Amino acid sequence: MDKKVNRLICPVCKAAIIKEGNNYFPFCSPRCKDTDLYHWLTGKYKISSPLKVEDEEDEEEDLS
Amino acid sequence: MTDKNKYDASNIQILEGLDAVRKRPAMYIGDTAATGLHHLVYEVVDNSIDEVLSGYCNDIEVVIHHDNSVTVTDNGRGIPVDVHKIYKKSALEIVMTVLHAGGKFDSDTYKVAGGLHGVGVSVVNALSEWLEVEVMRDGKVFFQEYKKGKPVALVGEIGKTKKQGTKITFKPDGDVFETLVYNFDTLANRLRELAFLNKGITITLKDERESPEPKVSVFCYKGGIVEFVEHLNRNKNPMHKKVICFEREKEVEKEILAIGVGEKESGTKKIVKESVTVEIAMQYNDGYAENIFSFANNINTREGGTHLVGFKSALTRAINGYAKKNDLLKKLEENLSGEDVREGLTAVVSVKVSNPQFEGQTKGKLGNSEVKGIVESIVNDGLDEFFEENPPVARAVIEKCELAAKAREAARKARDLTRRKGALDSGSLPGKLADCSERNPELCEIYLVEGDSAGGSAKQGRDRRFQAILPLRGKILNVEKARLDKVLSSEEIRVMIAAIGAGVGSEDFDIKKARYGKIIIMTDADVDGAHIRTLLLTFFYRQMPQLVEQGHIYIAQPPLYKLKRGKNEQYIEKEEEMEDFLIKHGTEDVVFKEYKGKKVKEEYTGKKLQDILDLLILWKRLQRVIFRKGNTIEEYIALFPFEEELKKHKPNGENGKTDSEEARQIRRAEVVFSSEYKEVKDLHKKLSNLGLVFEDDSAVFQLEREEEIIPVKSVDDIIDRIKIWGKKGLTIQRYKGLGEMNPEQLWSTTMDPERRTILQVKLEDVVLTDEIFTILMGDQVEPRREFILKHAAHVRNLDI
Repeated sequence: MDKKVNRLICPVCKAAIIKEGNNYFPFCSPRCKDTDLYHWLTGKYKISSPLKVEDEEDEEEDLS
Repeated sequence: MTDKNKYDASNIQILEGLDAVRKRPAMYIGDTAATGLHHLVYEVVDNSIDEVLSGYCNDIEVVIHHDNSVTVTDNGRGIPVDVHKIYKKSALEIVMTVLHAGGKFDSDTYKVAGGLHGVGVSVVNALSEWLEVEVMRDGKVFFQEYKKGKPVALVGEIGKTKKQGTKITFKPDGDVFETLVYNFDTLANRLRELAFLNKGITITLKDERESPEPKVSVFCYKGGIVEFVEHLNRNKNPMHKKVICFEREKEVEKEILAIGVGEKESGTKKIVKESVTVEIAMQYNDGYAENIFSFANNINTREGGTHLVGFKSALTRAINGYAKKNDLLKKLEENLSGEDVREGLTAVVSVKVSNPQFEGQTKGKLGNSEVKGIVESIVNDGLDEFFEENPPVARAVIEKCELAAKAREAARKARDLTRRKGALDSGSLPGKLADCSERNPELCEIYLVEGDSAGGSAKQGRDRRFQAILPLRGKILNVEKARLDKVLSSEEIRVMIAAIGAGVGSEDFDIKKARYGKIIIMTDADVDGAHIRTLLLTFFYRQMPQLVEQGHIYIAQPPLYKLKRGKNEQYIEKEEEMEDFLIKHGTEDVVFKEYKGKKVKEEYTGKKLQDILDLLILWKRLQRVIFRKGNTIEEYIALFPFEEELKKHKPNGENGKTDSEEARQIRRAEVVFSSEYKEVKDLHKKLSNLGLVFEDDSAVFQLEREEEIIPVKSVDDIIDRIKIWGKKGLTIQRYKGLGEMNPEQLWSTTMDPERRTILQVKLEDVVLTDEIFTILMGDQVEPRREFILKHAAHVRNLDI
């Protein structure tokens, strides 16, 4: 791919992270990793889709 | 000049001989590698800084010469040259040749002094092949030269001058040091630090080894450590613009043991007044890291010490105090902890004390016990006052600390949840799990199946020797009749973690304990299924990235269609595959004719026709990809004549929004550089060579099959017609969900290792998934729309 590799960021605090030698990848720290885990374990993460959105229907159309 | 400010031979005392230095250099300068080599320069510069601290010097120049000898020049008072009354030698010679000789041990001369290990410039002399010193004092220039620490001649007067100061040039001894090459950046970093710490002085570093012009850096910071903090935060996002800063001085009385050989009162105790100056600058950024630099008398105390302890405890107290007083911490159950108030903090703590005691392996820790309390009270008062005067800064600081506290609390709760006995223990496997009998993880697979009914089919259809089934249910919540939220309940996540058996969390995940070699996600081929898959992939990427990286995560590929023709059954996994199948099937017995006037110009059948159709299919797919980027294939074709011209523009990816002609040209140039454009050009050429260009309506094409004769005008016409023919004689069943397949079908199409296709998930895929997830989890419509448009092509690949 000729696309530039995106800069990796910590999903919780949005700080830039590096992958090499980082035990908490893709997070910056144990704290952010555990914070994320807490969200999973308390059902905080959701995928939200608006009920009336044409985008979704467009996708379906193209796939069929 | 008062008597107290007198600085001559009577101020110089001798503490120890110098012979040992060459024998055990590492004892005095740390090591004989690069670090020790650079310490020589710092030691000489520190002498100049001592003059700065006493208020007699504001200009220091360091020059690295071609042969890696170094000159340090200052405009201080100049080392005394008169004859010392006890040692009967020039004070200059004593300072340069006797260990621990100097003015710093006499607190009347230097109230505050640094010096690396307090060993003085004589160590530099002892470890140099040669050293020359020039002292400008009382209108005269004095000079002395040394070889390996020994004077070549007596101190001599070599001229007159109006200037004052000291100039020392030395060449480190190759017999002592493993390396003799100075590093510009190493010196620059330390000198920059010194310039920050001593507001207003100018330090120049010149490297004469660079050709043709010497490299010069000048360090001068009127803002002092405030500028230091800004420099440290230069690539970060500060939470408040104004740097918090204050400087205060306090005097304490202290009982010390008088030192100094040759003085009457040596060994007796005396009370001295000591002043401690504390200077603080600090600013929070939106990051997580704590970045506190502490200095004592300009020495970087990397191991901290009493000043740092005092700073930290006052910081916690002052911030909590202010928050409480102004009722700013309503949402928190507890006080802010030290960790909370230091998250994202960049600070410089600089203290100046009369008699610093350095401890620790590298002498990088301040030991003076009285300093802790002084720093504590100064920082407390200073912060209080600053906060009272700058309420917006105070609020920004407290908001930041509160965020940190909340995050810490969440992390702690997560750890508690995972460690609670039995909660995620693989010893008590979840009831929903249908485990396999094989015990060697490498041979075991687990299917994470969407929905209980599909889970049931999978349990019946599987090979129970090595295949485990865990049904998972996504929960769908209708929020205010406006949104559908899909979540994986905490229970589902827990059950999954327990089944995998490798633990979870920052400290408790161990991939070696994973119970399966393959973790296969099996969801329905619809939007809900895609969303659950996104949730699962995001979870694995974030909490168990090792599983992804080592290739343990897979996506099952259940069929989309079942085709039946007579007694033959066939399953098809992808839309494109289906299209290919129909085209192939529909081409049988078809004649494709191109007319010119009333005459047939070309006739295509069989393999030849199939080749043409392959090109047309490619064309159509390309059309779709381009359409998703918000363009049309016709627009691409229209750019053909301008290609060379457009290639002169450099796309920079930043002209997405502006509407100037220049920006439009660059956007066109971006198209011309894209891979799709190249494909369009290639295909267009191939089709043109075949005479198949549908740019005008005059061309007449015709499809014939059995009795049917169909005139066609476009690529779409041809493909649609062939597809219709392709469907003849077929029964097509489209699977909307896994539940529509019976156990045998599920086994034979999706689970049987001999026949199934499973897609291995790569780390790059999930990095993108995480990005998609971050967008899709939000409620905001706008970024979602934008994202879907921008990443449409990828989104399609990932089927989300």
